[in-house]
Amino acid sequence: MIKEVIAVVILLLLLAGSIVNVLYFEGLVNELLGHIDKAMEYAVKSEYESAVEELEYAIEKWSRGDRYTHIFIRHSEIGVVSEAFYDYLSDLCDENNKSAKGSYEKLRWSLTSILTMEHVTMGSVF
Amino acid sequence: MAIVFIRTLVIFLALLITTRLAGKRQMGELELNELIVAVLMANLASHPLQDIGIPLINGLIPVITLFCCEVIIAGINLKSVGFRAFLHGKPSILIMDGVVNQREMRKNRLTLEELTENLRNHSITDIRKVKYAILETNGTLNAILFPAERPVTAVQMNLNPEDPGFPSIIINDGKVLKENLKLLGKDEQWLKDELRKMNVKGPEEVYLMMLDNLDQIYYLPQENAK
Repeated sequence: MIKEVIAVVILLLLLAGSIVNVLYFEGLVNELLGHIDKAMEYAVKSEYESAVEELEYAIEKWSRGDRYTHIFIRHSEIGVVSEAFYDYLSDLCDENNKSAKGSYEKLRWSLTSILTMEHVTMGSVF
Repeated sequence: MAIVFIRTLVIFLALLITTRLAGKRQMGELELNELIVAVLMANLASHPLQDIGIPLINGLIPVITLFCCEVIIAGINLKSVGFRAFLHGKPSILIMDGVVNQREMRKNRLTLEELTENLRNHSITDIRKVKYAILETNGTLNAILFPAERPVTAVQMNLNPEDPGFPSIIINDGKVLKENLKLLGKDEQWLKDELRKMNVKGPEEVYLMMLDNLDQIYYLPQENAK
């Protein structure tokens, strides 16, 4: 009976861990989205220096979470997000507003897709 | 390369521990749920080994989850007869009084060749001699012969054979198994005396030595000794 109770406890812990994991990613992605949105607002106002600063802060935040994200997310997906971050940064540094709009959308999409995959929905399960 | 190496060790240990904890049944005849777990575990655990881009946790979580499910199902199985019947079905009587139950044969998708092959595994070549043949829920066939066809027992012959007990290994490849020796009520001095009687210098010259409750010794020397 003890063995079965331990098994149930482990399953509950895994369930709790999954919820914590989703909440962590939700928090991280929403925070990053806030920064990249702000960077876009600066870019629209042609305040590129502030936009770059804002984005660099977001990149640092994303990189700091590396240890955790590498454990739970496919490394190829981490690569896609990181690439999107640097594409966006490159466009902001070039002060290319048109191109920045596209890379902003790409970064938004790749970040949101991580969250979509972690969220328990019919789509993500099946 | 180092990552693949470490991951393989981690997955191997995880599978080893979970299979060991699942019990000895896992290694023998598998019931339906055990078969599913065994097949799934091996398959799921191998993916992160082949692709280092997949987090190892993606292999470990399914292994742990499956193990927990298996333990819970095994627990419910022990407690509930209804659940056991639902999960494993019921044994099927394929032969009764020497007659093959064709309905049960069809139901279990069993051919006559398979049935006779299984009977031959029990050294039975004539179906007429079988009182009952039962297909167990784990897929094994058990056959019970008519009383007249069963081997004669000592009781039937009014014999009272001595019980030699369980022969235990006391020297295994030159090493004395002191615990077994103690269980048989012997000590190392007794062993030394016995070895001297057999002109053996010491346990290192013995490959296998077994002893039963009637003090009967089975002895096999090391091939390279002397």
